[in-house]
Amino acid sequence: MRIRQKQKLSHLFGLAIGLFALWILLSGKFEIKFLLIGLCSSLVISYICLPFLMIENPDSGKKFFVFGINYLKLFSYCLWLLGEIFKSSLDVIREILKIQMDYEPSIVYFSMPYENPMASVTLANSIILTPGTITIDVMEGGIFEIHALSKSAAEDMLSGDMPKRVASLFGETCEFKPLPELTVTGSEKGGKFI
Amino acid sequence: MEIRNILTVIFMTAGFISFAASAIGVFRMKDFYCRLHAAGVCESAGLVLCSIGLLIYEGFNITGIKIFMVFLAVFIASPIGTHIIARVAYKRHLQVSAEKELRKEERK
Repeated sequence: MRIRQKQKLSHLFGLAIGLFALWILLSGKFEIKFLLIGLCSSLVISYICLPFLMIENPDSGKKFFVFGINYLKLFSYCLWLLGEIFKSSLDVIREILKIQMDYEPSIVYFSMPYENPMASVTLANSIILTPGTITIDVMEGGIFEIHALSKSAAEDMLSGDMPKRVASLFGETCEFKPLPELTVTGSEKGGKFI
Repeated sequence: MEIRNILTVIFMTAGFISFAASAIGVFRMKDFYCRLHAAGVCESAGLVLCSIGLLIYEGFNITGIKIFMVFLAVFIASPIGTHIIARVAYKRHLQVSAEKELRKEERK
């Protein structure tokens, strides 16, 4: 109980310091009046918002703080993601500007049951940010449903590089499992999705 | 100063090229989901390149930090819109591909 309260206090003050830094950056004024107003409002806001920022895992009932991420790891992950974005957007631009369009859209599935809901959100967000792949749905049990523009994008997704990186970012230990028996290619008529 | 201007021009040009490519792609692609992919190019690569160019031009001051914040907000929030559009279309059983081919067969 005590440990939990200590954690709560550290979350509260971390959030308040972050909001206060944002206030200073956006206002750019260093007079005492403005600093005091900013300090008070950031404390009040972080006290009110803290319960909303604790996300619960519906299965195990464990609670996770939204901003409780290792920021050094997050920075290196973002750099890697930027590189991926450039690579795959070059691929998509090549597909767009081809005179004879021959891409094959398909829907692929894989399962990655994260404990932390923020990990699923991060993975889904980074999949959509990489051009050529869109997360259509995240189902129960951590099954991701992904629409891929071309064959190479689908293979990239099924190689499981990105889910493993997100797992190491959040310190999770769960297995990546591609589900090829569910995979549907767009040209199949009379399939499940028509 | 000179090098900074040249770098800005290079990054902004690359950003505009990717914006143009995604605009072309929205018209050229054959089905709804593929058009979403084409629109995704502008909201990730185009945005990243343009804001890097603006950041280099502005340097590290308050305006630069504000540009970076705008970039961060769009970077986090824009995939949500794409996801919602794709999900609603999928739940409404919009066909994944081959819709136009089917229509052509009906006309014949």
